[in-house]
Amino acid sequence: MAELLRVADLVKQFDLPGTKKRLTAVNGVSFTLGEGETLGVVGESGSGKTTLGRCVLRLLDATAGAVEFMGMDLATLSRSDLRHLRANMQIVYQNPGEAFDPTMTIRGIIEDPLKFHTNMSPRERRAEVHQLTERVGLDDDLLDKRPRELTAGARQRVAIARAIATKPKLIVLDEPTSALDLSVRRRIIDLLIELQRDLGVSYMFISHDLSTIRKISTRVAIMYLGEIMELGPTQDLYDTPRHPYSRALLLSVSRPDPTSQARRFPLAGEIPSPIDLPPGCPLSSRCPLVEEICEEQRPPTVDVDGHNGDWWAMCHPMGAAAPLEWLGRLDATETRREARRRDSTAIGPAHFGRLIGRETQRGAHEHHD
Amino acid sequence: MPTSEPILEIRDLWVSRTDSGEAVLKGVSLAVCPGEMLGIVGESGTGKTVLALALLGVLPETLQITSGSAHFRGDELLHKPEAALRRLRGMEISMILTGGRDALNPMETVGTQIRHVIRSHLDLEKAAQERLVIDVLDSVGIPDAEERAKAYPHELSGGMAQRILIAQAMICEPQLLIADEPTSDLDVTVAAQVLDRMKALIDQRGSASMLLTRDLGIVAENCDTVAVLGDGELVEFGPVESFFARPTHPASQALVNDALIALTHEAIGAPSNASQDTTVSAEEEGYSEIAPEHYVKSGKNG
Repeated sequence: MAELLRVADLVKQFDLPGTKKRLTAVNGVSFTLGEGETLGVVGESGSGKTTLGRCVLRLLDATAGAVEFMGMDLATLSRSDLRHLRANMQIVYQNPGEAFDPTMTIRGIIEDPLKFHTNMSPRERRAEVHQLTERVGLDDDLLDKRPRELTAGARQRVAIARAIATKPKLIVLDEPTSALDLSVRRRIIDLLIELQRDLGVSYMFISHDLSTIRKISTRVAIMYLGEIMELGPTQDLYDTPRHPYSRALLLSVSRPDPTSQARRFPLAGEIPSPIDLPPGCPLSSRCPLVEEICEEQRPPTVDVDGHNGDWWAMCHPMGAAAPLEWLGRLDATETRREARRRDSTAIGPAHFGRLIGRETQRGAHEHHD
Repeated sequence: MPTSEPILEIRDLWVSRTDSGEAVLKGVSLAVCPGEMLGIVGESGTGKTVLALALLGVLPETLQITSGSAHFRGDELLHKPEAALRRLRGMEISMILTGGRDALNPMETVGTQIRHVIRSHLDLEKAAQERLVIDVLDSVGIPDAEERAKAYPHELSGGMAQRILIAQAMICEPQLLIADEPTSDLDVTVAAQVLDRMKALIDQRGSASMLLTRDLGIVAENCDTVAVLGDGELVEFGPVESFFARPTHPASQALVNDALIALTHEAIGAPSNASQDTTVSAEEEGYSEIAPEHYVKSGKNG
């Protein structure tokens, strides 16, 4: 797979107005993205995933580090070179309704990038808009409507049509489905997968939604406090996360099954402020496996056994432990329900029946009315 | 199996829009026992919050109770005079709202807001009030409680603010606690902790509780019983194990499916043990008991 994007030691800091303090949103992130590949970037709020996406497209200028796209260093490109390159890199936001000009028609919104990035005649553009509309599964009737007249799902399809109009090589999708209902969400994901198959476009898919990331990503990067804690092949990483944070995140999703034996890996406290970053591992204040060194030194990047750079985690104790021993330590503290469940036999749910005038015939319960 | 008396019994509760008369809650009957956590689930707009507001006597003017009863410890709750309700609210029945920081007063410190609750319900010396503020913050797992009491809401994280709301609701050790999406605004690793602490507190105090949520995973992990609201109607209820083993009403199946999709992005389709093997006849109205204490709305509306 040819490499499309290479991000190296990317740092983005923001000066806080009125103070001498700086907020570190992205803190030394490195990864690559191949052609036709999807990298899922997952993290909770404050993890820096959105800022990372903006820096990759140079919508924000990075404080340090490099972004190489199609072999070119974005930071050193002139304005006009960058503008030409922009046709190859697009972004889709969570609420496209807010990103569109409300006075424009859908036709105008989809046509806009064609005017800007191609030499098509008005007639060619018109035909192209119809093709794009069909491509993303939108009805032609919608073309003369305004954004607010469309459903959220349809608006997201418009955003996708607009994004693929210039035949980009990379689309950064920032929580593109988070505002959508589950059924609509699935259809948009299916559309994105289909488009990728047909067009060979690469996605950087940013989301806090673990199931969507799992569905669409070839590889996944788990971010916490501005850093990638673990990066690896999606299926493998979801099956056996190696970083304590990945494990905590993936096991914190509740299962709709009261008999579930799924174990979990609880973290203490909350994400620290990105203004005063801890000197060592970003997770050290919350990690149950923390060691002294974690609080003092930034962790090394450790390859997961047998993997050479395509699956790694940033963790001191993991680097020091044998693979099997490490898995044992990650394993489980408790099953959620059993650990908490008190003796429920004392409080039977036997009162439901009489409320609806339907005493149970088994006569096993005593009722006092 | 010993049964305890329900602390709350709702019978055939109807709530409708004041202007159009359109029914929003359609004959809901429910009960909660001491120490029990009842999960009330349903899509947004199915009446979960309306039910809670009706119980607390704080329905907006656009809604009114049209019939039904709600007995709290044997005492009718609906149409109680405001003064009597005010004594109950916060003291005997409390509600935990969603929204963290937004649900707190931005102009007052956390400690002051907790003191308001203490003063309006408990007759305590000033020193005892202060001690209680700290104890209450401790109990919901807030570190440096003494310092945190001096913080304003904007200085708190979302998880911290939600803990404060739980603390406020638990001050008077209410016998009934209603939690409306208590963790839906929080990140998952934080939500799990906050829920754990809330659940532990409720268990320890032996309060009855109602957890209003769309998240069936949370219900499966925490609740003893489940009630599903679909379009203002109670469509299925029962013990959690039985419910999740065999969700039967279409509205319940849709919710369980959504929860599965949220995990794996794959739906299970209609469960194979769905309604066909239940003995629900189309003519019969009301509820069928498909497993011990597991009821499903059947008949015309089912």
